[in-house]
Amino acid sequence: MPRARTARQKTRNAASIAALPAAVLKTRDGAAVPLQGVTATGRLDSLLFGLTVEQRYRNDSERNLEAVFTFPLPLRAVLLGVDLEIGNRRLAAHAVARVEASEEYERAIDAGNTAALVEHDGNGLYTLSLGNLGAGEAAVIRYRYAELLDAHHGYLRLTVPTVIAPRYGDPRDAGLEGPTVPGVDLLGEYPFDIRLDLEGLTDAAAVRSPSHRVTVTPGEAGLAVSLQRTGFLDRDFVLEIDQAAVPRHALLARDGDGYVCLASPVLATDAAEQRPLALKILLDCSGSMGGDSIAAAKRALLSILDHLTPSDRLSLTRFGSSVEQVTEGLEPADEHTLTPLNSVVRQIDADLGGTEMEGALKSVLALATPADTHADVILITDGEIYDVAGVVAVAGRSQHRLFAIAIGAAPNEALARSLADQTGGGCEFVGPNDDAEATMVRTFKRLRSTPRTLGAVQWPTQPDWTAPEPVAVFPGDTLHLLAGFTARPDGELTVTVHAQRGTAVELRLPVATRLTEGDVLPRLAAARRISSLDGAAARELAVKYQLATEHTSFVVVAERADADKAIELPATVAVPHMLAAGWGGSATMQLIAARVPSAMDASVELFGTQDGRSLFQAPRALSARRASLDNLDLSVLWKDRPPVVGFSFDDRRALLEALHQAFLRRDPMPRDLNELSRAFPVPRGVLELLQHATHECLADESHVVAAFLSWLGVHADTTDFDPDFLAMLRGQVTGQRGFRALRKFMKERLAE
Amino acid sequence: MDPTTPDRRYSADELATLANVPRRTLRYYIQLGLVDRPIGETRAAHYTWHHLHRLLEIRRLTEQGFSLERAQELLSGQAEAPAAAAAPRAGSIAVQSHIHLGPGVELVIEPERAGLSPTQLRRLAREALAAYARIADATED
Repeated sequence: MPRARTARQKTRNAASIAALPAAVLKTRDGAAVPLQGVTATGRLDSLLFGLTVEQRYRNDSERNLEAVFTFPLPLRAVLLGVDLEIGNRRLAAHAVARVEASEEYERAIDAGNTAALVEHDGNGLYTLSLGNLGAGEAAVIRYRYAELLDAHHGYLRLTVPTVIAPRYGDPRDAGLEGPTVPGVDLLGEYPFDIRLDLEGLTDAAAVRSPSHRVTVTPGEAGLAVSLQRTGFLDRDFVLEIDQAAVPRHALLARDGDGYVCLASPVLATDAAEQRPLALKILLDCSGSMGGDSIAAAKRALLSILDHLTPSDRLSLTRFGSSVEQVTEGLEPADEHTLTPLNSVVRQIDADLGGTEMEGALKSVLALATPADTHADVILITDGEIYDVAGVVAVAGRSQHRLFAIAIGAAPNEALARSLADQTGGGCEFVGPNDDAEATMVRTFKRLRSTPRTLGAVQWPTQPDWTAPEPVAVFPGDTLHLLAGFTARPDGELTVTVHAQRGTAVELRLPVATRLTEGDVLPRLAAARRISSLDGAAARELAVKYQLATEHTSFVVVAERADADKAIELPATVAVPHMLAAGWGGSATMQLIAARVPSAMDASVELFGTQDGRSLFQAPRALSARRASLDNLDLSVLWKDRPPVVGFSFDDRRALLEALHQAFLRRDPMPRDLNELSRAFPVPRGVLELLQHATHECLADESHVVAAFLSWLGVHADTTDFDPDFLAMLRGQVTGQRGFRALRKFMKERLAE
Repeated sequence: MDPTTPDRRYSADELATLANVPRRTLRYYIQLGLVDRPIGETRAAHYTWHHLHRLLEIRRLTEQGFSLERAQELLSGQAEAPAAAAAPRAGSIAVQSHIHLGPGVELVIEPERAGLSPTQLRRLAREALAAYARIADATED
């Protein structure tokens, strides 16, 4: 192509990009979106996590604006404070009764002042209204929350939700209407950055993020975690810690004139228990589960099948708009059931349309259970529905324990956790890059253990109050117990935990002699107490401790000078969310940690067939409200293929030599990716590819590593290495099933 | 005075209370063009029976499960029978063109619904192809 023409072409491209409407993010009515980005900084101290989040707003339009943004917090998070920064003023919001807060906000808007209101919509959703943000003005909303995390056998998973994925059903079921209904904009891009200090931790190798590429470095009093590059508000930030520090003392803090005590004893694990199970598995196959999510769900499901023994029973049901019983009922988990089920599961797709979860759950609960057995339900879902309360209520009445496996880059945590809490079950999370096997190992430990209940809690002195205690406890769990005292308690507390067969275990924990500073503990305790109170009492406590609850909101008003007051009614802009990464199969997140969603208008409707398959799952017998995004099956259009990874001759040789040395020393060959990466020089890209192979071929890590070693053996230069060594490498895969796909994978994806 | 008298004036507060919608939602509807702006300047602005009627209509439709976009279409008479456009009827046939942009990437056009002229369609296809080529060639950041 002649040079001149290329230059012209470039100019034209540049011009047309500038003219694209995506250059400035706008809502559907053409107003510019004022959210500029979000930054979070936080600290994990043992099991207490505190985070400060800054939402930056700027009004680039010519008009006076009101921004309304509904955003997620973890279900157990307690919102402690909200600041409004505008001009050079920084003002703290106060918590008052919900109606009062809303009236104060409206009066400020009417009077032409700037105001911010943060309301708790329930189930982990909060709405910010930021009104009278003048043309060209910028403001920062800074909020801070605290959360008590659980460690399970020392494993801790910390999640910072950043996005609400499109949900199925009627937003009013979640208390949302008008501008508070979270919308989605496929062109939206909000930068997100986070920095965390992990107090008291030293082993950087025990800290990892399955969601983002992070740098873990020694910090002031532990480890510091930061993003390698700025992310986007399109997925939860997840951090996993293997050796979480569990406090050896009950924490003690001042609470007004009295004291508050937080004891977090750990229930020890007995020898492995092997209770036979009756599992009713319910798999969400709605459109939103497409792509990465259904792949992760299948990994989880195959892993479940792997953990069953012939003395167990199982049923499998999948649902979307309709319910499909895959097995006829609870069947023995023997070879006759499992072998065909394994192949059925591999064929499953997210092709059942909407998410009629309540009906599906009811039909699973109704499946006949043999007389002397207690059946448990495993629900595998992204939880993207509005009617959390309805589903949780059905589960709560059911006499079944529910174990929720929440799938995806931004699952509805509130649903999964509430189901577990209400039924004495459990919840686990499987993101696109998470190890489903490890998750299932944890879940099965819980399932197979004999149910335990919390007995008497003996505090050193009689408490004035205690916060509600957990319904069910499992070996390895951390229990959080909170109590208030007038006089300073001193000594030891004793917790009795009963197993069903009449045995009891006593846990003892001394009360710390040093006081924990600050007001976080008493306020966390107040939030727990509020959860069991109603109406006026709950409101009173929330105001006293300055908390945003379903009864109270935060409000702050920045008075403007007379000449500066807003004159016109603000244009109300509902700030849309980015499309959650990988939602409905919109793009894959596996391997690629910072991909932005493909640009495409969400309101587009796709009909017709491609290869005889419907692109649009036409809603069957659904009302207009149900015909939501959830019915779009976009996976066929958007699924990315992972790239071929280069593996140079020198790199291969270095790895082969290291393996050869190990072989000569009679060291065992690596059996999983961890062992492979720790002891041997494997390029990062290759490691990621191998990780991907576990997802794509639905294979165990050990099999992937074996196939990889075999591939290396086949491609090694025979003159350089011991023939026994090469034979050993090549022989890694013989005689084992399921290697064909892996061999093909290695052949296609590893470039020499 | 009867609050539904045609020439009665309402403040934003009264209107929101009568229609049982938050005032923020009223402002949102105005911004979306679902409800007309109030009459008069800010401090003296008022609403009429027509505003109230409109708000109640919107509430009725959203309670029946219609989205705000759909409510807007219905109220402005752009759409006819309510349920007709929500989903294609079983057995209905749509003829579509699939324009292949690259491996696994297609642009699907349903000419009748799209309402594009042949020139517009060619332009769309040309620009989509160019966009795809540019994006597919660019390296990931």
